[in-house]
Amino acid sequence: MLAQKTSEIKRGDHVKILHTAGVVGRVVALLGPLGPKGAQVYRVLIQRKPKPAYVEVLGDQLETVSSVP
Amino acid sequence: MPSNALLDWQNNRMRRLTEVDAQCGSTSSIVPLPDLADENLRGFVVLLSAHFQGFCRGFHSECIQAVAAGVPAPLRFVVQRQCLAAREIDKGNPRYDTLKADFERFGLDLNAALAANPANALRITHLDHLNSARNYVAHHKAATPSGGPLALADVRTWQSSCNEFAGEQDDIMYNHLRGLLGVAPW
Repeated sequence: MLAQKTSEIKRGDHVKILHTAGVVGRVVALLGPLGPKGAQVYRVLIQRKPKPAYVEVLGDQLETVSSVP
Repeated sequence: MPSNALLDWQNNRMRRLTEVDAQCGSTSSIVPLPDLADENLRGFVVLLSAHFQGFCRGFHSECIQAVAAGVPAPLRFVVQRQCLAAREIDKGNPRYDTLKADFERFGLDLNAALAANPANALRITHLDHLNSARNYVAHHKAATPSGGPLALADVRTWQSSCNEFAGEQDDIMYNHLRGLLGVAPW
C-alpha cells in the first residue's frame, strides 16, 4: 500500500487517516469549508465490522493510498 | 462573524428557496388554480425542510471541527468519531428534538440557551409545523396536519422562522464554544 500526502484529495480516493492506528477508508463527500479557517472537511467511509462507519476529517489528517486492503 | 454553514444558508440555500417561493407565487396567482400550484407548494415544503436539514448538519459538522481543533492531534480523530457517531440529523428530519439531541453533545442546555430570547418559542413551534407538513407531503398523506389546505403564506412564515432559528443557533454555539475553547470557533 503506497501512501502519499496530497492537497488534491477527491471523492472516491482511498485514504489513510493520520494519528490513528492505521485507519483507512474512502472519501465519499467533500463537505465544503467547514473546518478551522475555512479548511475543507472530508467525509470518509471506514469499512469495519459489524457495519461501516463515517467520520469527518480535515485534509491535513489524510494521506491518499493506492488501495484499501 | 457567522459560521461558514450559516453563510451558506444565507447566501446559497435561502437564495434557492426564494426562487422556489417566486415560482410558487406565480403559479398560485393563476385563475383557475392549476394543479401545478399545489405541486409547486408541496415541493417548496420539502425543499425548505431539506435545506434546513442540510444547514443543521453542516453547522454541526463545523462545530465538531472547531472542538477537534482544540485537542492534541492524536485525539482529534477520537473527538471527530464520537461527535458524529449516531448523529440524528444524518438520518432524521430537522425536528427540534433531533437538533437538541445532537447539539447538546457539546455540553450545553439548548432549551435554556434558546429561552433567553422569547421569540424562539414560536420558531420552535413553526419548525414543528414544517416537519408535520413535510411528512404530509413526502408520505402523500390524505389530510394536512392542520386539516386545511397547504398555504404559501404558512410556508413563507416557516422559512422566516428557519432563517431566524439558524441565526440563533449560530450565536448560541459561537458563545458556547468560545467559552469552552477560549478562542473564536470560526
